[in-house]
Amino acid sequence: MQKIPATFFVNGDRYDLMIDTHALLLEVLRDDLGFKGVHESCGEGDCGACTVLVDGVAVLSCLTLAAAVRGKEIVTIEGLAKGSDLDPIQNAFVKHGAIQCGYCTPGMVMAAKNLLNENPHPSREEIKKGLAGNLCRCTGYNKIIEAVSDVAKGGK
Amino acid sequence: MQEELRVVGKRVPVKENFDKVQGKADYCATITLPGMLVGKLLHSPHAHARVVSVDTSRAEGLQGVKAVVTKKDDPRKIFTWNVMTYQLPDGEPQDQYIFDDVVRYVGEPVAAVAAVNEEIAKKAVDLIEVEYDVLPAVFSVEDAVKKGAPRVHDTAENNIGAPPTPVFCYGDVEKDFSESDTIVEGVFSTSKQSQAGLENAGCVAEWRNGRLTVWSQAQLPHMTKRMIAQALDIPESTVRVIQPFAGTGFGAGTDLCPEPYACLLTMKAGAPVKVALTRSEDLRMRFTREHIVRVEMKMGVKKDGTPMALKAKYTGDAGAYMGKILSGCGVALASNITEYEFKSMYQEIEAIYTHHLACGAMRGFGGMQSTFAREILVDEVCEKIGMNPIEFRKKYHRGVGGLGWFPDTKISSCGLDACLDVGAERIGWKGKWQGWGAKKEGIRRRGVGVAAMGWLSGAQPMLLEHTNATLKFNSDGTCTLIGSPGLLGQGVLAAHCQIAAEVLGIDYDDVRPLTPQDTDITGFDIGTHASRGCYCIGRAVEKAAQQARELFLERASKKLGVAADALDIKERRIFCKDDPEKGIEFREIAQDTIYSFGKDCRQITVNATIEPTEFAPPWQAGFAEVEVDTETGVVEVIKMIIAHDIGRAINPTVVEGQLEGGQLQGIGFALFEDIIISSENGVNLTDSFNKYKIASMLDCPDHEALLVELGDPTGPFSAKSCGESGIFLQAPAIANAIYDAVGIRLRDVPMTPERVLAALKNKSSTQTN
Amino acid sequence: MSSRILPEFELLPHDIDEAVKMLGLHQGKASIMAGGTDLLVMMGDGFRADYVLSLGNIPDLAYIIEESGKWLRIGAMTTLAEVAESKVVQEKYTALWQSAAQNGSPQTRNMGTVVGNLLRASPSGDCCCAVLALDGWVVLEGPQGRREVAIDDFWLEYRATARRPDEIAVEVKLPDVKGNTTSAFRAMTRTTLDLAKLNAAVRLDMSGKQCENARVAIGAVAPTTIRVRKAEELIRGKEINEETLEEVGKVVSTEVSPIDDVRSTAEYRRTISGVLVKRVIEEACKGV
Repeated sequence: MQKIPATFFVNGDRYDLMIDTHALLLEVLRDDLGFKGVHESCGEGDCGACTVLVDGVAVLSCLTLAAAVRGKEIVTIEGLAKGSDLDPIQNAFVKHGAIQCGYCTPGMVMAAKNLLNENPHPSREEIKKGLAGNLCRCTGYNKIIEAVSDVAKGGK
Repeated sequence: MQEELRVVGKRVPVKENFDKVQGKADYCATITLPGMLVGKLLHSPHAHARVVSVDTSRAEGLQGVKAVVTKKDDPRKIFTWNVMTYQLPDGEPQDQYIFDDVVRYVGEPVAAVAAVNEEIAKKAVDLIEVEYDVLPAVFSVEDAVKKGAPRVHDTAENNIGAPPTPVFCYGDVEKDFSESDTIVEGVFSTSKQSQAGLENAGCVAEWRNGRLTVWSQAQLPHMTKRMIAQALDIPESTVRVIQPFAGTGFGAGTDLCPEPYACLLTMKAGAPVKVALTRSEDLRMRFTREHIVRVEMKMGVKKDGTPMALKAKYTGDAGAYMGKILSGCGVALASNITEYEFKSMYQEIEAIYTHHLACGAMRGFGGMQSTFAREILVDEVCEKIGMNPIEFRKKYHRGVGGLGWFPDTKISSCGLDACLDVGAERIGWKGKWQGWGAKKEGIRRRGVGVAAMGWLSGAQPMLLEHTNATLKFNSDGTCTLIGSPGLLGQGVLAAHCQIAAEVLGIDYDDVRPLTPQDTDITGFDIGTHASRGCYCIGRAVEKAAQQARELFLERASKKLGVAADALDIKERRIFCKDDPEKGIEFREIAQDTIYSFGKDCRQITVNATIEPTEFAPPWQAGFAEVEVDTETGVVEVIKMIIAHDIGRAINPTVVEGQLEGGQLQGIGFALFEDIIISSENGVNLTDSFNKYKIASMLDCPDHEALLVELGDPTGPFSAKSCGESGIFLQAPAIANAIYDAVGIRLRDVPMTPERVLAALKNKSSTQTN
Repeated sequence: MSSRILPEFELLPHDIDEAVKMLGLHQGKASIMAGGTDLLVMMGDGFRADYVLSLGNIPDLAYIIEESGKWLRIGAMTTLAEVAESKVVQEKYTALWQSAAQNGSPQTRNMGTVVGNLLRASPSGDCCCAVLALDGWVVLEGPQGRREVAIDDFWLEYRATARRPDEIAVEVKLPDVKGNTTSAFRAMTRTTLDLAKLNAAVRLDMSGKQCENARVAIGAVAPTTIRVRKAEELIRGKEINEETLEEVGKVVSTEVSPIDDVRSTAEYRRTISGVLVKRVIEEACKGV
């Protein structure tokens, strides 16, 4: 098995490790670095559960070669809260009941983070387009849309 | 209804969600144990074959492989993945082995491997050599019953799992049909929907010091424990089932899936083993929605609409094993009784084996299929007699005291009229429904449709619904709620905490639910299915809280020198009703129960048992507005409204979430969700989210769930269920709206553009002829 | 645990020359990965390559360059999201813009590339359909240097392209369009985010109401995305009105050879192909 040295900046911290050349970002984050909030579901880019930010852009860690994103800034769900203060998006998800089984939640929140970074005041249609890559089987989406709208309007 | 509720009815946050939103919640998928091995399954590529030999020597020789299991390791105890079987006195059919001599569907496991990592496990699976004697297979119920058709099970002649059997019939349908003025009938088909929770099927099993611990997505944990023991032929007390958070549910956890294989592997390897299926394996192996492949229904009414006779037959495509097909058909039939005052009903069920993946249960169990057929036929009847379809439903639904879904049951409450009113108002029925035969023009045409039904809050009295709930009080006046509904994200634990806090006069934050749940700790509970969580378990929680309240008051009574019945508890304080100034903090009493230096230590721990008998039907009305593109057959849902009589919403946010989630699954069922299995070789052609589509946010139309809270005399704080109700009415309401828009009657789900266009073509060719 | 196992040998070249050399070394045994959204999915479905060559570490392959009056050039690592955000593409190459902006999800658009879509050569590829209508060229770099292949000659059969095993597709280029040229793209899907059960794109060179030249492309009805030349001939030199559109619709359905699959049926695809092309032409006409 061929290993190469790699450095990642995950949630603001530097990690130096040896990775398999063929390892996926999902595997490195979850299995090597222990960020278990990075969830795998479809493994084929259809569900968004494994979404993380790489240099500020939402990508699917299950379809990203770890070796190709060496040296980059990565943010996972574990990197959103500041100490014990949740990110406004996280608070809004809890408040609005935008979470049921919660398996899609980390990816959904990261996609919402990406959307609001790009567009701080999205319309309902823009929210739907921005989060369309994240499947949720439980909620029927209304409450997720409400939660993101609430943050966009400055709600806490 | 009780006044001045402080906790019940409030939109308090679900406690587990703080962990979930931070990625800190543990699922089977995220659990790691020291020394844990990776388990992988070898699946049959054939729909029907005799397994002649399985050579595992090369796999076993691979460095890093710790165990390979095959039929040689199977204790050969007949069992079923359907753990619900224990809820019936005579059980449901059991026809499975962990590994059998014959494989009966593509994807059925033939062997399993545990290895130190996934790559080695996969390589080892590839090194197992299986010799199959491939046999002819059968892929439809029609072919299965033909003379000389290949047999799925030696014991089932003509593949008949259950012959046509009439159930719960009453009156004389033939006489009532002959006295009917209008008769409509149809043959309907529905799809094999997948529960498709985002977490794939998976579990972890650990055999250590003679005990087997299984981390499972089980919804019915105590019966899961019993079934695992049965399959492995070990004492039930040897098995412990832990329910971490589950990223799936909707019925999926009422059947086993990877558990038996993980258990065999850990028992052989002596180390913990995780078997996490891929999405493809999940879709090929996980028992699907009960597949009632055909519903034949006939309905007769008088000129004024008076319901006379209803006759129906439900045919289940069991697939390779009986799973839950019989109870699915049974519930289709039984739930069909609740809605309308038919003078007579004759309904029968049958189940047939095929070489399809077998079926279990999904949200809306059985009621989906009978409701689809019935509500379309009601629409047809209304057109024939020239009656407003809302009017018919209001006039002829059963009411309080009427016959329920099971013989000798009575309807305890009914808010359907209010549901029909608020739903019609919200969709704008008055302006949008232009009467029967309204002329519509243009390429894109709009229409509206309505449907209605009554469901249940737990499957009593048909099934055992025994529940225990325990409250254990701490010295600071808080308590732990110990129960085992499963952690599917249904939010029911929030409702349970609210019920307990309300009864006890303490705060929501003072009641903490046990997570993860563990059969070594929790009392017996059926678990989560049949919309029972809030109603059945909630009643046990309410009862436990009442008993605890009495114990607290008793103790306070001694302290205060006041009779217990003169005391009340509010806002964490116990006080005299007549003299509110006189009182004591709840937590002081709690502390005294534990740190009592007056030699009266007695921690308050209360267990309550419930065996409900009433079924408290929630009622609902569904309204769809659609736009049909007559050139392409594409149906766009413009608006979908469901109005629910849920008794009382203990936590409205949670209730809406359940209903809205069901709604979108119902739209998927109506329009696009379908497991497609090749009729040539039995291969599941929809084994990914790329091929089996579930709705994304962009497929989410303007939709709403409206709550009607008129109370039920039997429910905890007058609540009824909401777990399944959201999913039933999309398919029939959309079908009826399509008819209103373009005049075609669809009888098959999903109503794809392909089917709509074919029906449109068919209509125009019959008209020109 | 992952749903797929990648080959153990990952090739991570730092420039095109190194990449071409690596491909030469592993003749035909290496698969090229740009965004990964296709290749890794194929690997999940059982496709095995001995080597994966990732373009991820090669700089300067992500660009959209407009050479005025000549070409629009899009690099091999330019993502669908970058194309969807480009004003030039939106205004002048509307069909491509639509095919990129509606393609998959925000995440897959952030990862997937237009060139990758062309190389995958799926008959239902959305960008394939747009690029075929827009008369694109694929630029390939190999041991013998550069060559350019017209999109009309690029797809040989189902999922097979004119790229040689030791070549890398470095960009796609589209001929410049004048103010009187208009284009549009549309896909029909089961749910919004799905591979197309049918897609179509057109490019019309208009002169007033008259169509001087047309390219009509349709996907998911044959082993590759195809042009419907009979339809093009029908509208060439004519005014586009209900009558011509009616004829176009009829001719399209006779020119396609669709199949049944999980997304649709051959019969439906055939019936609807004419409607879809008609609607795409109508939409393109609105853009004039």
